[in-house]
This record gives sequence, C-alpha cells and structure tokens, in this order.
Amino acid sequence: MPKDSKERSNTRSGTVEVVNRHGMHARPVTRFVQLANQFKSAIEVSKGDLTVDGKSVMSMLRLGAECGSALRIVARGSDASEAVTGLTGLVEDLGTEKYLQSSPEDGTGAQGAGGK
Amino acid sequence: MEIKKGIAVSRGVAISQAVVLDAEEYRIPQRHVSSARVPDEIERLDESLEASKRELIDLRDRTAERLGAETAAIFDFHLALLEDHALLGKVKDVIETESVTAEYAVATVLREYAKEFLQMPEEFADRVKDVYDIEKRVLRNLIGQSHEGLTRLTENVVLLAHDLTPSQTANLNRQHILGFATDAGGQTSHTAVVAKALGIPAVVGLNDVTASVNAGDTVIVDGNRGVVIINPDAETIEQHRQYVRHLVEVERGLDRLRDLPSVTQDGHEISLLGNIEFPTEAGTVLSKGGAGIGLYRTEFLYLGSEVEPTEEDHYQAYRAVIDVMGGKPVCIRTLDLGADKYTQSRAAAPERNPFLGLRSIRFCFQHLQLFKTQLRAILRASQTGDVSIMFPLITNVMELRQAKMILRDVMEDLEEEGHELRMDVPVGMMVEVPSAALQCDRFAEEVDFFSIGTNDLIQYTLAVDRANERVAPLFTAAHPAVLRLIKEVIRAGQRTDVGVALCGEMASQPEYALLLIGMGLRALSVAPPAIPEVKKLVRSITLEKARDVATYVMRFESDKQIVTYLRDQIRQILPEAY
Repeated sequence: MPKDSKERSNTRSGTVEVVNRHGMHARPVTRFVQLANQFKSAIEVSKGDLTVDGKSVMSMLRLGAECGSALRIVARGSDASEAVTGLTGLVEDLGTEKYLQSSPEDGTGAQGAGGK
Repeated sequence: MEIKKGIAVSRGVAISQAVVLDAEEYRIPQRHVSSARVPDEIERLDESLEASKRELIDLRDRTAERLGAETAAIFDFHLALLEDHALLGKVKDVIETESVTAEYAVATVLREYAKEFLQMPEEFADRVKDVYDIEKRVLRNLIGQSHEGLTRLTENVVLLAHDLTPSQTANLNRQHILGFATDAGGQTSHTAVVAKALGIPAVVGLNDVTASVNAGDTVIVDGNRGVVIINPDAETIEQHRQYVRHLVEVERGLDRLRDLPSVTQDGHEISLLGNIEFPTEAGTVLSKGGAGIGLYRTEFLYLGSEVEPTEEDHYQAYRAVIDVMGGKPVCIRTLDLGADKYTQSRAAAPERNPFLGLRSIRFCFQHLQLFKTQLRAILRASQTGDVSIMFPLITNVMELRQAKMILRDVMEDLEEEGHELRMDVPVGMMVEVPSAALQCDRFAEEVDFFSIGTNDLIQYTLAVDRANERVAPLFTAAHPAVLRLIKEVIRAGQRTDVGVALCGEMASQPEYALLLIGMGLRALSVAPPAIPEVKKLVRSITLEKARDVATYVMRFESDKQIVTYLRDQIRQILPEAY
C-alpha cells in the first residue's frame, strides 16, 4: 500500500551517546518520551541487540541505557527527520546543566520546538 | 461448586450474587468476569487512570510550589507511566484475553515490569519503587470505586471482602446486602458485630475466600454452620432454600416466646438482656423480648464523627435508649475506646502493643475532661430511668477507686449547679482481665455489680488476639482456665450478694448459656437477635440439669472435650437448633 511504502521511504536514523551521569533513568526517559510522542512517526530506540518503543517510558527504561552507552534512534513516518534530530539533540543536551535546570514547560533545554 | 469452612458469627442463610472487594494492601487474586462485563472493566480502568492522573497533577503542582520543579519532576515520570501506551495496551490486553478484573490486570502487568527492573543495574532497579507506587495509586482508585458502588446497590448481594472496617460498613447500603463473608476475623471482629446488629448471616475467618470467588458468582453464606458455598449446584441451592424456609419457621416459633417469661422448668428466673452498640438497637431488644440492656457501648459517639461529642450529644444518646426502654434497666458502660484509630491517632507515638496500652479506662484517666463530660451526661440521664454505670478494663483496686472518686466529683459539681440527682445509681465494673477476676472478692466490697466481659477476658487469659485469623482458633470460651476465672467471679458475687451478669459473645451460644446458668449466673446479656434462642434454652432446661452439666464440665482438661460435651448436651435439649 502507498502508506506503507511512503513510511518506509521516510525512515531516518541517528546514533547518539548517553552523556548524562545517571544514564537514561526516570526523568530523562520521561522527557525523551514526552518529546517522542509529539512526532507522528513511529520511533524505535536500540541499545545493542535490544530494540524498544521510543514512545513508551516502560520500554525505554528496559533499555537500561547507562552513561556512555550508544543509542540508535530510528523514526518512520512523515516527520522522521525532525524526530531524529530532535531526539538525538535531547539526549546530547541531557548532559548539560542547562537542560536539568530548565523546567518542562519552557522548552529551552530540549529541542522541543523541532517537533510539534 | 466449592465449599469453604470458616467461623459462623451471625446466624441465618443468604443465597445471592457475590460482590467482592479487593484490599489494596494484599495480593490481588485472579478474578474472572463474564465476557459481557469486559467493557465495564476497561471503563473502570480508564476512570481510575483518570482519577490517578488528576491526583498526580495536583501532587506535582503542589510539590513544585513547595520544593521546586526539579523535585516535582518525579511525578511527571509517574504521569508518563500512566499514559504509557505500551503499558496500558498490555493491561487492556490482559483484561480482554483473560476476562479478568481491572485490579488483577493492573497488578499482574505492573508486577511483571517490576520483576524486570529488579534484575537491572542498581540505578534502574530503583525504579521499581515508582512502579509499586503507581500500582498502589491505581489500585486504590479502582478499589475505591467498588466501595463507592456499594453505596448505590440496586440488587441484592452478598459481600465478600478481606475484612470489613468500621468506615467501610458505615456507608453500606444495608438494604441490599444479604450476608458477609470475610477472609479475616473472628467471633468478635467488627464484621461479626455489624452483621449481628443488622441481623444478617456472616461467616468470617475463611482465609482465602476472596481469591476463590468472582463477582457475580452465586454464593451461599451459611451463618449457622459457618460455611460458604461458591457456585452451588441446583440441588444444593434447593437444599438451602428449604433450610432457609425452615429457619424462618424456627424464627417465627422463637418470636412467639417474646412475651413468655425467661424461667427454667423448675421455676428459676434468668434475666436476658441485650448488648447494644447504637441507640436504634434498643427497639430490637424489646421486640426480641429482652428484659433490659445489659451493656450499652458508648464508643459509637466517638467513632462516628470527627468532632468530640458534647455533653448534650451524650445525654441525647442515653435518653433515646432510656425512653425506649420505658423503665427497664439500662447499663451504660463508660468509654471503652482503645487499640483503634481514635486512640492511636491521639497517641504521642504509635503503641507497640495497643491492647496492652493506653485504652479504655486508662485512656479516660488521662483525658479527664472527656471522661467527666460522659459521666455528667450519664448522671443527668440516670434521673429518667433505671440506669446503672459500669467501668471497663479495671485491673486493680486503685483504678476502681479513682473512677468512683471522679464520679463523685462530677456528682458534686452537678449538685452545685442545681441538678436534681439520684444518689443511688448503681456502680459496677467489667471483669475482663484475669487480675480483676482473681481479685473479685476484694472488688466486691466496693461495687454494686460485676459484668463479666468474656471477649476481653478470653483474649487476655489465653494471650490470643481475637481478630488475628492466624491464631483465632486458639480463642475459645471453653478453655478450662477461662471457666475457672468466671467461676471465681460468680462465687465472689454469691458470697457478697453483689450481682453478676455476663455480657460476652459466649452467652449467646446455647451450649455456653446452658453452662453459665449451671455455673450460677442469673443474668446474661447478648446481641439482641440472639435473645429468643437463649430464652428458648432457658425454658427447656431445669436448673438442676444445668448444674449437673457445669459440674461435669469441670473435670475436662481441654476446650475441645468441653465443646464436644456441651454440643452433645444441647443437641438433646434443642434438637432443632443443630
């Protein structure tokens, strides 16, 4: 079907290293999933052999992504490219104090503006 | 069909659909629902998720205000969990494919995640606490919904629960609840007290009945034989219907005894009184043919409301009963609060052993104003009827003297204020701890009457918490040591001409009533619905026979032998009762 092929044609991916000290634990994962859910694209995140749903906190936590681990983010859908940019950017920013001090609403830390 | 054996605490038989209440602090058992009800469970799940989210948003915002957004962010995580489509998808999937309750599905799915987290590195394993936290929150909302539902029942049901607390039973729609069955509890648990007051059958101490019953199952609660039958076959239902008809007949027969005297066949009068918890029960005492009220518990005045009752609240509650009883005796027990929320929430620190702690008369001595308020109201009300006062949990002579001294102070105050008072209001004490029973000859010099409270006397003599179902079988009135203590009190009363009554649960069971009469008691106070049956027993025996039974019982060394012997005797006297 056209939809299927279109989605396939809109697959984007990126790899990012987890840089914040405590890894992808509760709060970073919450931010990640909140942002992921703003995209239409389906989002998968892999660490090594394990691939999980990037829009589910429970699933993301199961990755157990500690500081230093590499995450591969795959987005499929109309806004796949924005999704990958936004989410890799968020993971990179997690390491900075700036991100942690920002409140969820003001969006200065995450590149939340990239998705809608 | 499954048959569960428990403790029969309130007589009668109910056959109806089951409503099951889960308890959030216990493991949620796998409970099935019919496929037609699956959409209802999904809807309940959604409602409880919404309620949980509202709580979390509120909690997050208040935390953010007080402690900053950083700290509050943890609740964003909890919110994200409640919105997690993978998680919710799984829960709904479990409800739909397994046809189970939302409670069970939530507990199962979250436990699976929890197990997974526990195997991860420490930082992630820690998240298990959050999983437990949201599990508790959602379950509390789900279970809260079912409690709410109980206030709006439109069909008759029997209620199955782990245990029933006073706050749960206070709001039940009593009209449609035909019976209770609980996992926990013993003869004197709250469930038992409420069921008896309502006159509906109840079986407690069933251990795991809530795990075996699904909502909507047909259940028979047989409060005579202490049995619960789950999904009975047609034949069993018919047998029990017949049994119910038979019981109704027996009941009618008993009600005909109402206006007949409570006298043995050889002409000895036994005074049968009622124990009441609420003023409204006074009417039942009369309609069941009771000669008065042997125990008016007054704790309801404190437990029913958040604010402390005024002297006028007390006075009205006493007058209501005195007026209904129209000159028949009313024995008011002063506040016997203890080992419950009321005293515990007022304690400086939680008591490690509340039953041995600051309860009852001890609590009153430390809250003199509260005690005096009650005594004033009782004394004022005593003007209008045959009222007596008794003090609970007296353990030594000094306590009795202190209580009497406070009573005298209050009397003097009232007189100074110009109140007309009866100076001869009889003052008695409960004998409900072994120390009081063993010293009752000394106490007899200072009281007008004794009332033996067997529920506590057994608990303190045998060191058994009657509400703990794991040791409840050890709680028995037939223990030879308990019987010896009761005998002590009866003898002391006879030697000194001080009246002795007994107001525990044991007196309502015909086999024990027979024994107690034989041991020398002439006044028994029981739950009002039990009065006719005890009267029937009284009218079926001679005092001589009862004395023989009591003498014979003293040779046994164990409660089992005594119970077997007494039941055997009763079967001969009242064959239709068993």
